[in-house]
Amino acid sequence: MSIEPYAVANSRPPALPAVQAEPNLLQKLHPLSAPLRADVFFGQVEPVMQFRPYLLGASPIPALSWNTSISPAQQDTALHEVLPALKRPWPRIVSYTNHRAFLGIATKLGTNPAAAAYAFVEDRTSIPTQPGQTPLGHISSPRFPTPDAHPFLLIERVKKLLDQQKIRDARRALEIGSSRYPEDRQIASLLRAISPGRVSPTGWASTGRQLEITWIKQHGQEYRGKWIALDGDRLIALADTLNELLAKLDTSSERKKPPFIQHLMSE
Amino acid sequence: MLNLNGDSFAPNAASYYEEDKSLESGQTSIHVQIIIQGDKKVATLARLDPATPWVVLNAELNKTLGLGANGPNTHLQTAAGPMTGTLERCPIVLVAEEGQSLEIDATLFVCNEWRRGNFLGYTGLLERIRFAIDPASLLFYFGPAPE
Repeated sequence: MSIEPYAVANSRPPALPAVQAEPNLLQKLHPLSAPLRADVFFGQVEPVMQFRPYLLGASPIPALSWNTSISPAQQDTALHEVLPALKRPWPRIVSYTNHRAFLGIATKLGTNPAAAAYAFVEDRTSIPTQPGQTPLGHISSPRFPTPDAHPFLLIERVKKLLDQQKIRDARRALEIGSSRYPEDRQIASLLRAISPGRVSPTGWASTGRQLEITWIKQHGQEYRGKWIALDGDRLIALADTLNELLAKLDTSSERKKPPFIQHLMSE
Repeated sequence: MLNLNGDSFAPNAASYYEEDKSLESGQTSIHVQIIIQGDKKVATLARLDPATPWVVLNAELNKTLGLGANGPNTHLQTAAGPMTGTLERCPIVLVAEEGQSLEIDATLFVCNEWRRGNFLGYTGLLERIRFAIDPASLLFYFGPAPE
């Protein structure tokens, strides 16, 4: 059994039957836009798979694709898993766990009865529709109220992205989410917290802290464990806690050059 | 002022310090002067750390300046192990000795367990500026990143 080359398949774009998929399938695949219907196109992905199925939702739903970056060894395993699904109506979710969906799509392309394509849904990225591209068919999926319909799925995904330090992806997801759920406070709060900050010139410069650094090098050992405030090479306050230290100082926001404050860690 | 291809790249400059002797590690790195702009102003040193996503301040600074407990919870892998904290906004000033200082609306990871110094992370602050260093003169050049 082999995969038909893309070029051959693309020269004979097949008309695929409209498919009534399992409820909430599209919502599971894309919790942000949760389309009721998605068109199916075929594109090319090299070198792992010859066919790249992806769904394009109707405007303003963003275009979706599935990343199929897997190794040849993973490809063999994945095909082995997908092939049994060929006998069943497509698409079907083979497994769905924690934002990961394994979608098997099988159809007849040209003379090859077993051409198969699949996508491992992990990272969804937006891709534009190519000029002249026509859908091969469409998938519709009724939407039933489930927890997926609520913003928490998005928030959980964003938190996972933040834990993975994928900050740009988290921002992108929140920007889409905030337009879909404009009144959701948690989404708004997260977006506010991680958006790029504004930079404002202050109009002033100050002197460096070489005197203070030199003082710490020379005398820091004597004050280990303390909070200290320095003004040049003068120790102007000393305390066990920062709170106590600040109580002794003028740290008002009007002051251009506040005292230099450091905690001298214990050995 | 630092130029690139004839255009201004980073119009502001400040000394940086390779060691923060106040820390027990005494690790060699790049430490610059910042002012944390809360109800009270605190001038101190912070290490440039593009490998860290957020600005991370000593726990006692967070507590005393009233930072934390408002923003969303998140986790951060650190040299001291995984930490839990909240994401908060706070203005941080990068102090210039030449040119002018910049105030940046930074994102802080506020963690009550962190006591290993102050760090300026990438998406929390550094992505908003252009910067360069001159190790020969220990100068840190910086300016706002283009919009």
